Amino acid sequence: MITTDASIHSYPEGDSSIGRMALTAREFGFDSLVAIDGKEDEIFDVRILRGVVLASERIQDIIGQIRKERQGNAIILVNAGDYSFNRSLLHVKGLHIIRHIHKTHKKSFDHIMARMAAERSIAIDIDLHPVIYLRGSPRQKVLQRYCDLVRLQSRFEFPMTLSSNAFSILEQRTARDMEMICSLFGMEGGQVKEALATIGKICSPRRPVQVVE
Amino acid sequence: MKPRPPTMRDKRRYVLVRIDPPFLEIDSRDLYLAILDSFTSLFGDQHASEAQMAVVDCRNGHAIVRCIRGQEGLVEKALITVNTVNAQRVALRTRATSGTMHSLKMRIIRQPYPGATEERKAIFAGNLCVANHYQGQKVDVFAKGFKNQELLFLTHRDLEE
Repeated sequence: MITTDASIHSYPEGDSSIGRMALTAREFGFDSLVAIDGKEDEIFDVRILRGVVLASERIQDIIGQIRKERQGNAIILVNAGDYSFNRSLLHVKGLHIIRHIHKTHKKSFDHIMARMAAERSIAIDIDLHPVIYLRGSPRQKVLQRYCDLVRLQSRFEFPMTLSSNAFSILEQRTARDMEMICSLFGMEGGQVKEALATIGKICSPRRPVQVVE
Repeated sequence: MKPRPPTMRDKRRYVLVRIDPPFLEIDSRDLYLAILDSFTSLFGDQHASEAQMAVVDCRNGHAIVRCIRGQEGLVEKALITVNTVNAQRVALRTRATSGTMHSLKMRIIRQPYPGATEERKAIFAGNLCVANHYQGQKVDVFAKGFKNQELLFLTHRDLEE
């Protein structure tokens, strides 16, 4: 099974080179990484996938940017916004992941959108950075949002991804650490393993059987 | 006071932790305060008092954290969320949990971390920097930043010949 950290930021954005992050990821039980604004590669037996984050408040801009990126094999991530924006996002073709749901209003992702995400195979990202780095009430709010997302996920079974959002090797966590952190908001072992394998499924989606000869 | 007989004492568990970056010299008291802060923030004072945590050893890039048996899961979760000790950026990686300190110390001897290191000059981004070379591919470079010295985590491939 492919185990992927769904977003990391390497040098010069962070303080660790992509090679060092790949080496650390291999030690930590990952076999692929999504490097934001990086390039596709294979380093130390770890597959590096290119990730593109689109952050705009206008859906037309997002559609335009996705059209530009569609030629490459990039994983397209979009920062979530308000309810209507998120709902429009679910109709956009070529989008893979909606991230930063925890930064939006608690009503910006509901059961209707959860069903749509499941139908269209658009993944929702769980960013573990705020759970590890925030303290007090902001972390409580993030845990609440993630708890709600996990409840919706177990009902509607939309794809989920897990990301460390690491800017340094000091911020990267092992697959087991991720599982332990996810247990804080009620995500079970099976769900975590499935979430870590989602990027692999995005890269090789199910297609109808083709007759080759 | 007469010591309590062993059968009446609480059972304990010891968690072996690897400290990244390994060359940092961290005081065991500072480490204890950082872990306790994370633990209290995550699980509250009640669980913190139940866990009876203590840092019993901290040297050579490793630390051993003691707690009451049954609480090691919570301690491990708290260890994941520790990110600074005494204003120094660190990451704590759990390596093993055991019922005795001896077995953890044997593990450190059998699998030392980070192994042999060597301080040498290296060229990165056109600048001559001091670098810690580890066994294998890892190199930590102390580069000059805008305000102060910056620590970069690289590999041999990233350095210029």
